[in-house]
Amino acid sequence: MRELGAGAALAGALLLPLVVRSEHVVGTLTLIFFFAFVGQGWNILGGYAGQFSFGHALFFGIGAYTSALAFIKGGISPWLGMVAGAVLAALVGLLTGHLSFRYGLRGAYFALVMLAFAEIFRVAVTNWEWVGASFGLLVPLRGHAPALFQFADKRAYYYVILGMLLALTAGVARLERSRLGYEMAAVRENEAAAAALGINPYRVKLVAMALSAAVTALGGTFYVQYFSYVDPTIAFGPAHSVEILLRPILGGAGTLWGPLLGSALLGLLGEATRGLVRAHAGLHLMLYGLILMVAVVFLPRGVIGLLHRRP
Amino acid sequence: MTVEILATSLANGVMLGGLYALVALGLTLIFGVMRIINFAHGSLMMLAMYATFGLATRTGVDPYLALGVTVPGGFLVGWGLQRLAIAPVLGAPEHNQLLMTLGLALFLDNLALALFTADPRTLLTAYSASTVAIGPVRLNLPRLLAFAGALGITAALAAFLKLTVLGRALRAAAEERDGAALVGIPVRRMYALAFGLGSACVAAAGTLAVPFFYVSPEVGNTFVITAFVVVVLGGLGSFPGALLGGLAVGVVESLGGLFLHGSLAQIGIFLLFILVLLARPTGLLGAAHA
Amino acid sequence: MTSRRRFLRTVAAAAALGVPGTLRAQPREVLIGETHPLTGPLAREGNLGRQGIELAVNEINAAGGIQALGGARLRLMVLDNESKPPVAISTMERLKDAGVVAVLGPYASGLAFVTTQEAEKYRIPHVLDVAIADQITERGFKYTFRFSPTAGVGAAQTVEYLGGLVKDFQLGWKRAVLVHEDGLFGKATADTLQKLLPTIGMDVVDRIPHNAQAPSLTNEVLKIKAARADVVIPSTYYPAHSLIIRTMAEQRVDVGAVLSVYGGAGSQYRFIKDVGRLADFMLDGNHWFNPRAPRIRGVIAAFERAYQQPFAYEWLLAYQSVWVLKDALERAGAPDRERLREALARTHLTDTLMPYPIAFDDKGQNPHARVLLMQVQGGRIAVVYPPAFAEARPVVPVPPWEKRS
Repeated sequence: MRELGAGAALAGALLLPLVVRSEHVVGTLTLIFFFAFVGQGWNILGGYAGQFSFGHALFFGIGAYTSALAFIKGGISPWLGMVAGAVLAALVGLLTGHLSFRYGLRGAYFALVMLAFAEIFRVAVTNWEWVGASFGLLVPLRGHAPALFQFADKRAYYYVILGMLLALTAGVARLERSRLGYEMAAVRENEAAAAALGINPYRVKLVAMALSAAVTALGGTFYVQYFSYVDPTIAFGPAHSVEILLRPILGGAGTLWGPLLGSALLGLLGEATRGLVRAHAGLHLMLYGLILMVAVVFLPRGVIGLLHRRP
Repeated sequence: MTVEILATSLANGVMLGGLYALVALGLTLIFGVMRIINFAHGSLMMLAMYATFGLATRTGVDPYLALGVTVPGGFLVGWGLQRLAIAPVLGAPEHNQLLMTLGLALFLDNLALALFTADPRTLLTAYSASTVAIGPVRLNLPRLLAFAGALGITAALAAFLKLTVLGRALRAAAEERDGAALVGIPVRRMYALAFGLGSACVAAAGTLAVPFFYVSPEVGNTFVITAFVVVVLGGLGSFPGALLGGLAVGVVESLGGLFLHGSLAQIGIFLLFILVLLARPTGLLGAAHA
Repeated sequence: MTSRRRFLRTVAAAAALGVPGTLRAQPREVLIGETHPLTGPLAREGNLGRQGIELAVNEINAAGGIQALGGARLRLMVLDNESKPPVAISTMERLKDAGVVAVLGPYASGLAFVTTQEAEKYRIPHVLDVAIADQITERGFKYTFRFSPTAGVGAAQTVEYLGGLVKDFQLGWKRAVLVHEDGLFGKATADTLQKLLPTIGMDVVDRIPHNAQAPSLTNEVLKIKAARADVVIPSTYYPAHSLIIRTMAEQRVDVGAVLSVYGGAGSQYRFIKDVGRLADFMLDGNHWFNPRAPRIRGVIAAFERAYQQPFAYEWLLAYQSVWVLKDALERAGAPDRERLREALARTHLTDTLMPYPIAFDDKGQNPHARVLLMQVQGGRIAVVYPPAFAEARPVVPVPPWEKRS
């Protein structure tokens, strides 16, 4: 029964752009999948391994800037740049992870340190001419160039991110059931006990960090190709870090479908309020804040936690 | 680079440092008692600034007199927020507490944006450009008053904590929660008190800053990021740490800005923050994870 | 709603096709798109732009609409891009979906980079307001039209005017200090100034970058003091101008003049409101109206009546952009994007509110665009240079702080 439901949903998702003509609807769904993707990236470290980072925009930005720069300066296809960005982000993740975990940073301190790293990158990039400084990077338009990760038809992007999301979901599902997945859960629940069982928390967290960073960076490349533009605040800013973590937290951190659920809910909420919000600035962010506060009290394990609490 | 310029820059750093110290004080008080890092601290400062600005422009109340409104107001708001938003998550995993204050900050900052727009406002008073001359150095009067005010409030708070029964009860609840509960101290009320006092501090800082600083929805964050650095530097939960740290950061920032490019100084602050966190991750109070 | 509109237009088109020659139905309305930051950090400017456009559209409709289209009225579709490039892209998508014949906006350069890109992708003519970054019209786009001066042109002309002032008033100024925000606008302008100032006989004795969000600019002002400048040239954002002037007053830093490039402070009434008498004698090279244009007084009065706001170049440029569009629509003869683009490219307007005629080169930029030099005098902003447009005599050098009340 569940397989049928999942199959129907998948078929619906695949067929939707062919049936619905509105660019706006397709665009909204594309963004929902995008945030589900980067949210899942955060989820690997924050939800599954239990290390909440408030600075994941760091990896997002590295992915976006690496592939954009490779293309603008070196003519390298963003498909390759994407991989390079993921590798670079993983390395930065390993470095920041090593510093944090080796020195025993946890909880609030770890969250803040990641924020500080992201801010350092943001300020540095804002002041570096070669990478566009505060102005950012514009990806030159090449019309329809699939080999260069550019499509004339916006719907192609929808399929790309959908494909990325499906692949990631399958990957995380396997991770959940793998040995590493169990180790991550053990470290999340009780690090000392996990160590007593022979698990190396430092190594587990580091691996989670590298994976998480790489995935988030892949999302960064998608973003910059989709919008053809990125600047330091969009890429590395604290607001973006919040956007990334909000979806999995709302949906359910540490669950497979949490990020997608959270993203869909926020996406729909955004569309619903867009009509109401004509003159008021920042209302949707206000709503995010309110949702976060309410979720933390009433949905400490996210919406999925709520669904699983049925007797 | 003359002596006059160096001296002026140093003096400015000290004055601003006093204000940083006051903001940091509120933050460290809240952390010391409840082990919560209050992301919404800057938002409260910002709201106090808007309240001061509003009072001054609509009723002509001088900002320094407005302290009589914003300090008790800040206390009440802090108390209320603690009861409404913080208390429900005191037993929850730490990241949920963080998310709560983060959500609060998001909500308050954007509420201000919606109500007041992003336009920075400046309050000009008769004495805004007045200076006090000490030798060749001209000190901006509002900044000097802010410094004096910050020191005064810090001293008052320290006296309260050391000398009054309530203050000692607060410290007891901070140091040893269960023991304090056992001797009859209403711990939950102490938490609300701490949050209220911390908020009153940051509200005072905001009011004191209005005569020389512009008011906008993000202005609180500018001060609070520095305050975070101060608190971590001085040790989370340490009063003297917050005070000395505030002054030190103020001076380093000012003198550094004289010799270095502005944004490099910003990076320097974040690097300092990271280094201190790595070197002393748990602050002066030992393992801080319940 | 979109599909209903499309349905009606399809029916109208079908009906039109079935009707011969001169009896063919003319469109009753021409749909114009507008994307502006109505919320977010640029909300103030974006809303001024919206008001300017609204005023122009109402005027045009009241006067009979587009004559060449049988009196078709202009209808606006206004979307808020929230001061964010990704949202700006989304607004362009929605405008395209709605079938607008052209797009106006978006005020900010950062936003314009993406809206012009989208306009080029979708082949919709896009007439810009403000958006000074030079590179916007250096990408070979065919659907972008900018009638106002660029950052580079503004800086060059301001230097030219400064040179004129120094010569005309025998000021003997040699030492210039640049203060700029450390972002792209500030740095690029400072670079241009550094290259051009020697051509009017001035040395850049210090170049002081500052953090755009700095809470205090005391250090920077102290450096200005140390440099003993004849003229201080800030290229930075509004809050910094406010801080700089206040700190200069407080520290009694006297210079020959403070002359900004696209600073906004010396040519914005809100600056005068914010800092009062401290704003006096501040000079700014910026967009402005042509004081000799016959219609300008009436338009400013109309705006003040409608929106209770004084003059601001943000609304002026938006207002003017509508008239540029109107002129092109008249010549295009049809609410068709391609014909409109052709008509825009062939624009030659001399009856404008700007101190320059409007035409577009093959890159979409108006080569005649010009900034003017304004000075705050007694709470009023007056054009002081070049003489052909001046309303008042410049006060240079400016009085020292001690002498001002």
